[in-house]
Amino acid sequence: MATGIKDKVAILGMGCSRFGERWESGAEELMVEAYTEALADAEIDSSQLDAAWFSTHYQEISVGKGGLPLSVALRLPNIAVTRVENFCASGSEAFRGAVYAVASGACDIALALGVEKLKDTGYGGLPGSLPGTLNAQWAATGSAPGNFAQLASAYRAKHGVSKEDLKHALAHISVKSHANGAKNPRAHLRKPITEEAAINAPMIAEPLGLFDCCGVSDGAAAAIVTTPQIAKSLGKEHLVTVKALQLSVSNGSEAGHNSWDGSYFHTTRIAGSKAYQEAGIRKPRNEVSMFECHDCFSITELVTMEDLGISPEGGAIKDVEAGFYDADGQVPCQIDGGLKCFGHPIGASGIRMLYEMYLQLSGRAEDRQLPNPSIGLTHNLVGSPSQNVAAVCIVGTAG
Amino acid sequence: MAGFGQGCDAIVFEVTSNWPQYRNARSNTLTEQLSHGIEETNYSKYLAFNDLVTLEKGMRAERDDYKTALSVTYRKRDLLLGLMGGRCNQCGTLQFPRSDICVNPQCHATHSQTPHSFRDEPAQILSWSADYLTYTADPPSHYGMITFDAGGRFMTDFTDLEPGEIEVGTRIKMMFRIKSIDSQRGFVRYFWKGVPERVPERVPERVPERVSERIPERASESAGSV
Repeated sequence: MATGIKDKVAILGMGCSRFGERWESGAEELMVEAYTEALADAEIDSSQLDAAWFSTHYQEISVGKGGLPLSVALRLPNIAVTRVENFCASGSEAFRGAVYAVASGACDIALALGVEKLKDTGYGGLPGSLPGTLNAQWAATGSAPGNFAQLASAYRAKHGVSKEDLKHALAHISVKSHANGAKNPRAHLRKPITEEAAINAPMIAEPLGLFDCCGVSDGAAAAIVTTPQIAKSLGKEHLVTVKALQLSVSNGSEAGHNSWDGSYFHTTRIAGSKAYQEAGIRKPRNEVSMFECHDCFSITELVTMEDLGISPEGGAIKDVEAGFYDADGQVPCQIDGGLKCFGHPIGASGIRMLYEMYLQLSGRAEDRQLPNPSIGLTHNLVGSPSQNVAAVCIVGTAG
Repeated sequence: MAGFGQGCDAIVFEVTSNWPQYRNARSNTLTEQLSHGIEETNYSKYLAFNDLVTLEKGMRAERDDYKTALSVTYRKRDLLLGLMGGRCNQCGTLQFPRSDICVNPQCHATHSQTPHSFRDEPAQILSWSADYLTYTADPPSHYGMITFDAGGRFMTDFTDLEPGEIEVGTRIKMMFRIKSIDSQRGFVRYFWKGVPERVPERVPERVPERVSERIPERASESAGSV
C-alpha cells in the first residue's frame, strides 16, 4: 500500500541563476550558474551525486535532446542523467524524478536542474510548438496568451462578472507580483507598476494586456535532494522536506466533452486535492502559508486561487481586491515576483518556484521574508485551459 | 473538368437521381455560402491575402511547420475535409475527433464509435479570444471553444467577423476554408472555420452592389480617388 512522499526526502541545497535577457550567456553557462550555487549550498562536491534529472523544453533553440547536455555542461561524473519534458511542468518533473529516486532507496543524493534559453528566437513571446502531424492539420491557431485568455470570457459568463471588474482584479494581481519582484535581485522585471498602467497596456489577446502576461526570459534553477537522515548527518539544519508531489494530466474530456465549462482547470483541482491529502492538509486557506502558482497570465492565477481551494468558487476577485494574496495578506502569492517578474524559462520555472519556498522556509529570503512560514506550495501548469497538465508540490519545515 | 500541365487530369461529374435528396439535406448551397460570406473590398488586403505583394509578415510567420504528412492527410481525410467526428454507440455522445476510446468520462468504451458529420450541427461559443500576438494574415486572430447543441466540442478558428462581434453564446456555423498554405512547398491545407450565424438580410453593408450597376458611376469619379 503506497504511503506517499511526505517527509521522506529533504532538500540539501538549491541554486537559481539570475533570470532575464541573458544575452551574454547560453544555456550551458546558465546551468553552471545554478548548479554551482546548489553544490555550495549543499556543501558537497559532484562526486557525491548519484543521478540527475534534466528539464528543458525547447531543445530546438537550446541545447538539443537527451541527458547529454547537462552532463557535458556540468562535467558530471558519468552518472545517470535523464531528460524529462512535460512542457511547463518539466521543472517539477525533474524534481519528482530526483525525489522518487531518493525515496525509493535507489539513490542517496540526486540533482534536479531545469534550464531554458528563450531569447535566442529573436522575437517576443513564447515560440510556437509543433503540435504533431495530425494536430498540425486541424488544430485551431493558438498562442499562449490567446489560449489562456479563453478563461476570461468563460469565467465572466459563469460568474456574471463585468469586463471592467475582471480587468481591475487582473491588474491588482500583476501590481502585487511586480511589487514583490522589485525586491528580488534574481528577477527579470524589477519595476513596480500601477493598476492604471496594467489596465491601459497594449492588448495582447483580449482581454489580456501586456502586463497580464509573464515575461519571456532565460534562466536555470537546481535542487539537490537526499533523505532527512543523510542531510542531518552532513550537518544540514532547519530541514525543508517534501510533503506532497502530485501531477494530473488531461485525457481529452475538457476539449471534447461538454461537461467542462471553460472557466477553471480540471487537472489543478485534482492534483491540488491529491497533494493536500498526501501532505495531510485539510483546510488549505488556513494551513498553506504561501504559494507560487503558475501565473503565466493574470487570469490563470485568478482561477488557480479557486482551483487550489484557497479562494471559494467565484470568490477569487473579492479576495484579490481585499489584498488576501498580497505580501502582507493572509496567504501571500508569488512572494518572489512569480512568473510575472521572473519570466518563464519553461524548464526552469518549476524549480525556481521551489527555490523561493525553500529560502522562505529556511529564513533566508531577505527583504521578502515572511514571518514564520511552515508550508509552501508550488503549482506548475502546462498547455491550455482545455488540455493541460497540473503539477503541485508542497514543501514544509521538517517534522 | 480537365487540366493540362506536365500531364493531363480530367474529373467527370454526373448528376444522379440522388441529387434532390442530397440537396435538401444540406444547407450549404453555393448561394447560401456566398450570402453568408463577407466580401472583402479592401484591395490592399486582397493583394496581401493572395501573396501578390511581398509583405514583411514578422518573424512568427517564418516558422517552418514542416512538410505536411500526406499519409496523415489521406488517413484522416474524412475528419479534415468532411468534418467527420464520431458517435459512441454505447452512450450516444457525439465527439470530435472520432477516437478508439470514447471521450465521455462516464463511458470510455473502446472501438464503439461510428462516423458522425459535424458539418451542419448547430453550435455556439463557449469561450473566445482575439489574439494580436500570433501570426495571422488578418489580425487579430479570433479562436475559441465551440460546443455543439447535440454534443461534442472543439477549439476552432473564427473568421468573417470584426473585433467586438462575438461573445460567449454567439451561434456558429462551420465553413470549409483554407487553413494554411505551405508556400515553401506549394501545398494548401484545408479545414473548417467557425463563422457567426447571420440572417442574410443582416450581412454588413460592406457587400457592394453588382459590378454592372457601378460602371456608370465610375466614369464620373475623379481620377486619383481612392
